[in-house]
Amino acid sequence: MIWMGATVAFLPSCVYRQDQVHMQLKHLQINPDQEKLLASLADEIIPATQTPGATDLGLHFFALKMVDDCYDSVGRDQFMSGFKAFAENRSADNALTLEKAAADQKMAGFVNGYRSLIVRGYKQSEYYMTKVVPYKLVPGGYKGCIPVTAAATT
Amino acid sequence: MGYLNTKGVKERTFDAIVIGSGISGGWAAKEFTEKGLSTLVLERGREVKHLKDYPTTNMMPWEFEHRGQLTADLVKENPVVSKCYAFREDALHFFVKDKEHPYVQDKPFDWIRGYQVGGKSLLWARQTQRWSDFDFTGPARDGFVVDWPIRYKDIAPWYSYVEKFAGISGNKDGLPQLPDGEFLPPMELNCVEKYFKDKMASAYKDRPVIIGRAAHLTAPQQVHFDQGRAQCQQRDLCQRGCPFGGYFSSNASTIPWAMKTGKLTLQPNAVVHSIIYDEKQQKATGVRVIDAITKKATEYFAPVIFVNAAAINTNLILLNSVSARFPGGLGNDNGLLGKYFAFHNYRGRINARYEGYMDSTTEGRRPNSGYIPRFRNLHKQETDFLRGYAAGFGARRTNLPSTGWGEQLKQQLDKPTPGLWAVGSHMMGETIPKEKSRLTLDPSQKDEWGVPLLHVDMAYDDNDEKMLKDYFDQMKAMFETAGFTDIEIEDSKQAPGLDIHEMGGVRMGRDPKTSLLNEWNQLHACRNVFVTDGACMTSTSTQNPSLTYMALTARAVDYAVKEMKKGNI
Repeated sequence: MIWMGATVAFLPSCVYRQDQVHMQLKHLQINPDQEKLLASLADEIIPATQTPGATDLGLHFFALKMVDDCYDSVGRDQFMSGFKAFAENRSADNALTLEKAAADQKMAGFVNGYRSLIVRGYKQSEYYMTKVVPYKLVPGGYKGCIPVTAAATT
Repeated sequence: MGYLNTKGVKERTFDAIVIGSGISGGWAAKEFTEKGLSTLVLERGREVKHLKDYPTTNMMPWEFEHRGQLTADLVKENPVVSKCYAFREDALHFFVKDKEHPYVQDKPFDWIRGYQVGGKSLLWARQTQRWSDFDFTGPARDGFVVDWPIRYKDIAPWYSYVEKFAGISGNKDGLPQLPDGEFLPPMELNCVEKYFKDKMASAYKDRPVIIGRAAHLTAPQQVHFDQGRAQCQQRDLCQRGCPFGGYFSSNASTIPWAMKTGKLTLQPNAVVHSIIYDEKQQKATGVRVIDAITKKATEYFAPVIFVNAAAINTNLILLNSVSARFPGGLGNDNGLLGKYFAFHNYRGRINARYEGYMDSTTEGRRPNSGYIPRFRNLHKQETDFLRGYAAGFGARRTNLPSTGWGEQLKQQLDKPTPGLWAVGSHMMGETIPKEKSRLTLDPSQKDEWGVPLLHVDMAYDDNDEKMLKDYFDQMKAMFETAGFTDIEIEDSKQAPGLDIHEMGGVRMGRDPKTSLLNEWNQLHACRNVFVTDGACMTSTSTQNPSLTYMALTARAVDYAVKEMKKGNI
């Protein structure tokens, strides 16, 4: 499981226990139930198939890290209130999908924001950048016009 | 490298002192030491050694905690520098944080700084277009500021001299407004950029689109191997410092070259407080330096001093170099020091899509882009504003945005579908230096090194606004001519300074009554002090200015050493 390397940076030093969340956050207050929900939502966005999905790659931790560190306090509050609204609605209606929630004004901000963080984390994961669309640190050159069919990397 | 002991005057005396180790200071160091002069280079920031001090250079994208993005705390603490496009997670350590060196914005001005050995030469955009006589004769023709004391023929051999050593890639385009240089092979325009070039060539007689001339070793020569540099690998991660020395920086090129002569003493963490003027000898004798860390003051001496502290700090040092002879700052007999400061107008951007070449794409990366030299008011005045603008131009193939959720989304991400081409341009406008655009010293507040805080007072003017509008009108028409769609113009409204092309305040000129420096970058009123960084610029042109600073520096050192041999300095 070579792609697991990507998650190491986000794992906290503390040992996981039932009553603790998986990572330390500076601002966000996330309880273990909320963390579980965020993990399962991440897998609803990018599921494990023959290849790793969001939680295999630790993308829910990446998303939380980004919200915690890179969102300002207004952005964090919006993320959390949207998430809480989603969590409430989901516990009332287990069939509530992210797609459906994206049409709801209260939840749309959270749903779209979380989706784009998971997508970004996926495309910028070691797994994706080595196995799916390889990133070359040293491309060595630039080809200004090649057939689309010949393009191997970005 | 010799670290200085501060015991005797003799140990603190050199043949030449260079203040600053950035793009122009590095050249002064190289030229002086090659000519056999013992040279002290004073750098206010820390040491950054080529290769050794590029901590992020080989990191993969996923190894950055926030994938390059700034944290909210960093943005909040650094409202100025966080606006700079290159201030990202991989290059934070090469920029001055806002709190580290405060200044006073009488009007909004973003002062972007790199305090370290190499200065901003580690971070620059590496565009190296020559100036032409359309630029050097601009003020005389259009009646603003004062006439440049030099013409293209005076600097052309020095452009060649620095280009050969630095390594400049480019195409010989044969354009009078953008003279050809000593080029290594050009980088490549991509298919849509070439298409735009051809369209513009048929629609206009005066709007060439070329690949930018850029300080990258596309085919290194022996002189580059001798510097320990190798071919540019087109990583496009230049702001981290290049492990190949593929682009020109003081760190990769001039500083180690000067060090090899055995004549260079490089003193980092040395904040220059002021230049010492001796009333009896009627010349500068040395500099007062404050240790950046211990705050201890030391004086160093030399018969010739080059001020290459970067445009704003060069003004600051001269303004703070007061004596009975020069109460308003060194060489400032006419009261013009710090005035006629200017910058480039980078506010205009335009983006669009192109639905052509759908069967084609690009591969790899290119640390460069297309370039449209100035066409406005070139041969004669034709608009209601003075001067003109150059423009960057680039195209890239995008992927279709991924939609949906779950397996459907994942399939799209794993096999991206090419979408339309994105095309874009940005403006690089000449601005007119004005007397009221100026740098001054605060009468009471000082920084932690005992140097007065700097006030910056300048803004866009009516000419800039008209030029911006013209850029939008012309570029929009050009994009429409090329069949580009979804055209969007954007006025970034960014403050002056974010262009990082600040220039002037110690301008060159023929007449000591109306300028500070003569045609050799020598202070009219204090002949052993030279200024060859952005502070010396009489007008701004549209071209990225660093190459001109390099050429002026090499030329001025050559002159200074000849004058020293003649006993005139």
